[in-house]
Amino acid sequence: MAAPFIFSFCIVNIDYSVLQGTGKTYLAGAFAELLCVFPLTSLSQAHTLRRLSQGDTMTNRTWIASIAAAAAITICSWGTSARADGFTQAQVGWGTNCWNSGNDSDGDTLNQSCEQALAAAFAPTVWFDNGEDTSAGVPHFAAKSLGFAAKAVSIAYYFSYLKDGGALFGIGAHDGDSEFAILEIHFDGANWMVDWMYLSAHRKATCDASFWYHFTQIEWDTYYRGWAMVYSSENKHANYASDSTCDSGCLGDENCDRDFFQVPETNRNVGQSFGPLLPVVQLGSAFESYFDVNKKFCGWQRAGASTSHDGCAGAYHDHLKDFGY
Amino acid sequence: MKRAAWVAVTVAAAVALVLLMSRRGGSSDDPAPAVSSKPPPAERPGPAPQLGPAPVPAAIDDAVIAQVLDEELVAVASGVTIAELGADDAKPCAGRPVWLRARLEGDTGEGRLVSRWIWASEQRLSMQPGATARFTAQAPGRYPIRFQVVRSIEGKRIGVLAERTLELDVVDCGSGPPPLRVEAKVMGGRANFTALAAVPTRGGYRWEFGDGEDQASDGPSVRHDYPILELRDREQRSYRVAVEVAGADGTLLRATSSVILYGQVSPPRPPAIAAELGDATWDEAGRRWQRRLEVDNRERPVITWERGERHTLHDGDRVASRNLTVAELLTIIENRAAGGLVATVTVTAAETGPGVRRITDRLFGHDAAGEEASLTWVPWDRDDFDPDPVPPVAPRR
Repeated sequence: MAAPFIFSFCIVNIDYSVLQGTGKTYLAGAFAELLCVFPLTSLSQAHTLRRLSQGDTMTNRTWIASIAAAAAITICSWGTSARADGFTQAQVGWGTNCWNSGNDSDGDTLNQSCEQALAAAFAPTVWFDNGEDTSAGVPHFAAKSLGFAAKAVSIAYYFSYLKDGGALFGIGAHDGDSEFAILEIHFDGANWMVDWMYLSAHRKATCDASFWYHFTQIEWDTYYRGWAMVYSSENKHANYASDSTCDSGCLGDENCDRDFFQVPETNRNVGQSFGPLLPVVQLGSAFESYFDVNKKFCGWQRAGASTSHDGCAGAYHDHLKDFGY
Repeated sequence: MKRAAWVAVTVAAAVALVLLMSRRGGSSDDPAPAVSSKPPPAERPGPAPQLGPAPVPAAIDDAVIAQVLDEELVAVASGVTIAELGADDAKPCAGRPVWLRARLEGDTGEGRLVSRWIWASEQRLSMQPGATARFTAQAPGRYPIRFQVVRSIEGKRIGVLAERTLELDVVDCGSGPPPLRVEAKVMGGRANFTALAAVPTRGGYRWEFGDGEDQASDGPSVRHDYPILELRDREQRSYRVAVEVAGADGTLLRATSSVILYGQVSPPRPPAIAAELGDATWDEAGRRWQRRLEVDNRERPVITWERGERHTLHDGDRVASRNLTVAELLTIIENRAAGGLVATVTVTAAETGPGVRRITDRLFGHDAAGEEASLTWVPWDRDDFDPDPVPPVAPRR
């Protein structure tokens, strides 16, 4: 008797637009959404389920495992059902000790392990249209303190797409695509939460629709003020905070949908220009720089299989320097 | 397995809907909900968890702040003062958000100072940076909210330059939904408002947008544009929006809500290239549409146009793209200074067949400084032309 009740309560918090996905994606998403009701002791469980639901390739074994995991988490968490904004200190593993403690290789007062933990915890859910065929990338990230007084941190996610499909009106196809997102989060004494999100959308180019979004303007995946949802335009990778805003972008020629999603990897911290950790990143025989305003981002074109037909994307640092990176 | 799961989800969703309605007791009154056609994120009703490191008293003193935020607070002399401190609703309802705002005067430090709010709610202390903050109290009562202007000194030492406490009385507005409320969706300076009535109405809405403008509408939804150009980067400005409508019994229903606008700073861009596309004319002999294109470059170094693209958008969002030479894309009538030109753009009837929604052209080149230059125009859009008969008649605009 108890099981259906628990299950039904969990379903309350499903974002019904997930229904747009395929059957497996939907159900996997639904089980990932179960987590929204219950504070977890570790975000890794939630990340596991979110990544399981990323594609439509779950095997029966992973499928059953995800159901079992979600059910177990649900039952274990019953009785602590109220939610708070963002992630707890226990979930992230860091609080005020993120500042001025331990290894700080990039000299920004933040502990490197804390930077990694925060980037992983807040990595956004990036949705794509089924027509997307250039979503491959080698994401990198950077984090920096916005001050201990505000307990605020900025996290930049460099999506680093290998190519721009150029299928839609506007800028032609080219190697590399230097779109990005920046989250500003803060620690309120108990929880970490998102305050602002900047999404690049053809920044400094035609159809520039880059924008700072306040947390009240963002759609959330599972965790309110935790996992922001980003809509990436089909093969152009311009980022928007809503499907409808995307679809009306660039003379109405952008197209977004919630067909499948990616969560950027967060195991490559490039640091900042005043403390670079990965000044040059090699992939195959090609090199990219995240700190050279004159080095266009070419998506490691020689290492990839892309066929350039209009050069490369703008230099990452030409954008990120404007944000103090 | 899969079918069983689907059935379970369907049944569970139905039960969940009932539970949802009974637990929430009405919708949130978020003054700036998520901008999406999708369901907005849910507010968090009900008791909040005890998440803080330790329960804190309703009164907030420096010792509690120092303990929870792991700081050493130091009073610092300064020229900044807190000129105003308030909420957008003097008596907010329990369970509904209210916006807090402060205004500073004097030496505000050119970005070196941090404004922050600190309150004790749901048995824990919370800190929110910023000159504005959204506060939600789950239970009625008096809530002291501390506002501070601070700056980092060194390590965990925080200098307090100014502070004041706002006493906010949160009242019980009942558990049911209000008879009328306003939903706002804001993007840039454009706001879409919808009046949501929980009781029958006679229709005929009267709106006040808080900026001196008002409007009457037959339906419950209106759109209004606010000026945001003078706002600085992420500076916030709020407007109090009100709507009135007569209930079916003649009672006047009124609802108010705050709408928050956020300033944006555009990145520096190359000077614009001026382009003007003339009206379309139908050439019966050639069975084609033609438009005059004028391009003027008054600010950038000389531009050399190198290639073009024509993209055809079909129903179903399918796009067909073609690479063209400049001569294929344009019939140049006159070359002007610095890459300016006058040309004819042609779209044949064959290109505008059934299922074609729009044609977009792109022209690419580089200026003498090596910077990329591009132009975009839409020579044909189905929405601008009467689709039948073929050949099409004159465009509607």
